Amino acid sequence: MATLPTRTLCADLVTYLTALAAPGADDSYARCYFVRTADANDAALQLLTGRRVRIAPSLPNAYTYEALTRGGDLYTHRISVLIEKRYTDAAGDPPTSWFDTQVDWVYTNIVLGFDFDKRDGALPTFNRQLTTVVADVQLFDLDTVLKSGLFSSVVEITFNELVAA
Amino acid sequence: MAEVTSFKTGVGCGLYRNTGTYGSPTWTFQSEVQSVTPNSPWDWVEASSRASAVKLWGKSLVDVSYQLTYRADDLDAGWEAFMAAHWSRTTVVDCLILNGLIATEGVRGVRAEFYCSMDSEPQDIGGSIFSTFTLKPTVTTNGLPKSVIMGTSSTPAFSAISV
Repeated sequence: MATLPTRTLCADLVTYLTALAAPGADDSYARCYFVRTADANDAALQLLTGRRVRIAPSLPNAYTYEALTRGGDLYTHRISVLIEKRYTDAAGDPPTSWFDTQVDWVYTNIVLGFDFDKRDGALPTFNRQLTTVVADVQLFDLDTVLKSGLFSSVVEITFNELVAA
Repeated sequence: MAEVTSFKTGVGCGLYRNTGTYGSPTWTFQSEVQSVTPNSPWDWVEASSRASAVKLWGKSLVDVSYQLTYRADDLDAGWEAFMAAHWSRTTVVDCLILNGLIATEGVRGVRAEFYCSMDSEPQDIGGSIFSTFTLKPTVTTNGLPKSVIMGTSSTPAFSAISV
């Protein structure tokens, strides 16, 4: 049975991110198909101390497959990256500096980190036929961060991949 | 009732570039071609006479040309060959252009040495780049353009397009 290229891409991105931004002892990067969003009463959330990153196909329209040339097919992958980090430093709302750290981490490692194109030769070594089309960023979920101190950002990225037919 | 046969698809057609010699060709499938538009309209010449009230016609010259879109890739030898031919006034590309794959008996096309012109190459910021080439046959010491019907074992049967 053939392996879905979108699944392979998610796994490759986890490996790539691990090399790009080495996870700390409490951090966790993983591939998945869905993430059950934590809330204030979620026991798992209370235990979340590091940064949690989950990379999954965007549901429900995760990929498009079409013939591009007589010898090559084009996959358009739509990938969701969920980044979560709980604020544990002090009581009250997180300060601006804490948000700065979180949004900059997402921008540096996910938006720019997964920006693969040919402008500067920055194609991923794991797949030279992969290019990034667009990244759509939800900076963070305000309700979640105010109620439970959980920074929760979602980046939806569209990739093109050329595959030999 | 007419017999029902399979239909042809564009993706199942073959544009082959000769990477051998003219006399002993090696037909290499050009996989990065996206689409090919063959054109071969005849010029009509009027041949009416008092013999008939029907307007009569003859055929003089057939204008064979191909327009193809080719995914730009400087690592692809085929695209490089067409692009090199574009930037030359004399370089030709020997092609076998068929409406099926070379191993399929009965598919038709043309074998000729073509001059090549890159008509356009839109470089949109969000797009994948495709070069649009026009191919027109020319005369060389190797011979003239020929029509082709593929036979068994990928053996082409050539026919002169005679005057």
